[in-house]
Amino acid sequence: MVSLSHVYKTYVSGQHVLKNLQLEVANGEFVFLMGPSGAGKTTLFKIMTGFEKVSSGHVKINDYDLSSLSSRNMAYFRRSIGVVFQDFKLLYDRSVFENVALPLYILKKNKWEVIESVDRILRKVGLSKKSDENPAHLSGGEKQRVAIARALVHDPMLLIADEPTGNLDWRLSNEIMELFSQANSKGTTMIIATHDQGVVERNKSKRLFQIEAGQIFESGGQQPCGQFFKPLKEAGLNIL
Amino acid sequence: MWSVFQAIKRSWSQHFVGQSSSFVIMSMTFSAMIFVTLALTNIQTLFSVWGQASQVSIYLKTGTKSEVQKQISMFLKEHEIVKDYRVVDSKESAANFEKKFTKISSEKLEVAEIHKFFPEFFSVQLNQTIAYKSSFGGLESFAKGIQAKFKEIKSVSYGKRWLDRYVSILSMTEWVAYFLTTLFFIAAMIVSSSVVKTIIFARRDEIEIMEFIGADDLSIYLPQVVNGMLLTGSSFLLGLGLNYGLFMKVSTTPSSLLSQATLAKLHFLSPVLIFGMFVVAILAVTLFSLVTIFNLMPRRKKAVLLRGLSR
Ligand SMILES: Nc1ncnc2c1ncn2[C@@H]1O[C@H](COP(=O)(O)OP(=O)(O)O)[C@@H](O)[C@H]1O
Ligand SMILES: [Mg+2]
Repeated sequence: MVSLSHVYKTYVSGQHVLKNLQLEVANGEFVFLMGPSGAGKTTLFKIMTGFEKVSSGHVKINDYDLSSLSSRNMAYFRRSIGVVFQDFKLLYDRSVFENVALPLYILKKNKWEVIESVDRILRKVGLSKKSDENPAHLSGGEKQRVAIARALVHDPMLLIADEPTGNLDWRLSNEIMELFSQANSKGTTMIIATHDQGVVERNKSKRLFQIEAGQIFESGGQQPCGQFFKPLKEAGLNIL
Repeated sequence: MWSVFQAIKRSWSQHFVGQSSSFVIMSMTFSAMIFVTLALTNIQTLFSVWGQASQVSIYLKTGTKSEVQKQISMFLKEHEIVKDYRVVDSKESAANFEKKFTKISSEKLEVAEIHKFFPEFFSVQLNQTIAYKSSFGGLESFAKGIQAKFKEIKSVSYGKRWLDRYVSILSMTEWVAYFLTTLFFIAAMIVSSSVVKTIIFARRDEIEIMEFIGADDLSIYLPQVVNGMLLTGSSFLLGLGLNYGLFMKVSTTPSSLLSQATLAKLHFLSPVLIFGMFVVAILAVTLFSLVTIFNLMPRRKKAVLLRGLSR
């Protein structure tokens, strides 16, 4: 489902932000990505959503080869995934409801489907009462939950979340994790970046990757992931 | 279609001042443009108010036989450029002269048989549209032709110097008018595409977010293009309406400057011309908007689009 091979990313400064990065995530997996600030998590996510190009290497997600997509196919690809951005990326000229409904509008769902799905997801993230508010009036944690609701409302194949619990206390963050688990059990593949050790501790059963200085390791063995695990995976084994 | 309408509504409510002021500016610009075009199509009628450019005098040598006079009459009667003519004999022109003389002098003109000093001539009224064709070329060739045909004709007078000046003013005015029309048109396009630019620039965050969520270029940019088309179309129609009102008022009110006969000759722009201008304006604004949109895109997107186009 997600396959990154030999990915290098260099910004104008010339320093490699990502160095020969390898990542394979199968359908339906739940993956944590941990790493200190500046390690390259956001860069990796920008690449995985087509907002940055790799300097070299290949990125394939859901059979879309991201390096050669036309702008129309890129749009189709983005409709099939959900993304929670570190800075939320909400639209402050419309209500919470309309923000969450955006992916459904883009998928041209009819009015009743939109109302039903948005109400359901807002209830799950605990924001039913704020449906008509402007997100500008919400707290950081509430904004974050709006962003999460928007990323999940259309039952995406893949959810990519950049520090989705960064603004939440442990109780709320547990609830959100619960929500992610539910979505995952319904078939959504999850890739979640976090630097919250607690979240990872409470979810020991999930796969965990460490990203550091542009390189990715699957936790446990300090081996660059990919080359090492790929053969096992191809043999149908998921050792974690 | 509904979402396009929604997006336009939103951009009007958020950029009301910018949108409405560009509507006003564009309406003014289109009004001026249409006015100049209107003046241009009526320019000959308006200029002919000035003078007797259509008056030609054909002077005969003294003692020309009445037979030859008849031949000349026949010739004039058959020539398409001649609208009307009459013979002014020497007595009549002498009388005219005397009348003028007494107006400017207190003395009486006392010359015996003064009429002998005045030649006989044909006063010819020309068909303006033919005479004015190709900068009075028709008139000149008529004058030369008739002189060559009848050697009894002493001279043909039609105020050449005056005419030359008239022609050069006319053509200069036409050029100025073309220039102004073009200028106004470009101004309208720039105003409209600057609205597109301002709105897209103000909404760049929103555009980025919509892209993140998977909106395609069409649904992101179409509302702005349609908005530009609507602005252009409506301000064009307003300008047209204002000009039509003005035209109706002017063309039905005779004044000392514009006689009834001149007014009757004035005409409004033809439907074909109006439609043509409208279509050109809409096409041009669409092109301007697309170029503006493309210029504002991030480089990465431009590359993807160009690759898609070249495929
Ligand atoms: N647009 C950019 N231009 C140049 N350098 C960048 C850009 N975005 C990120 N970087 C650099 O890339 C490195 C990784 O950043 P980022 O991916 O945001 O890390 P993280 O999300 O893990 O904190 C940082 O050193 C950052 O300064
Ligand atoms: Mg980051």
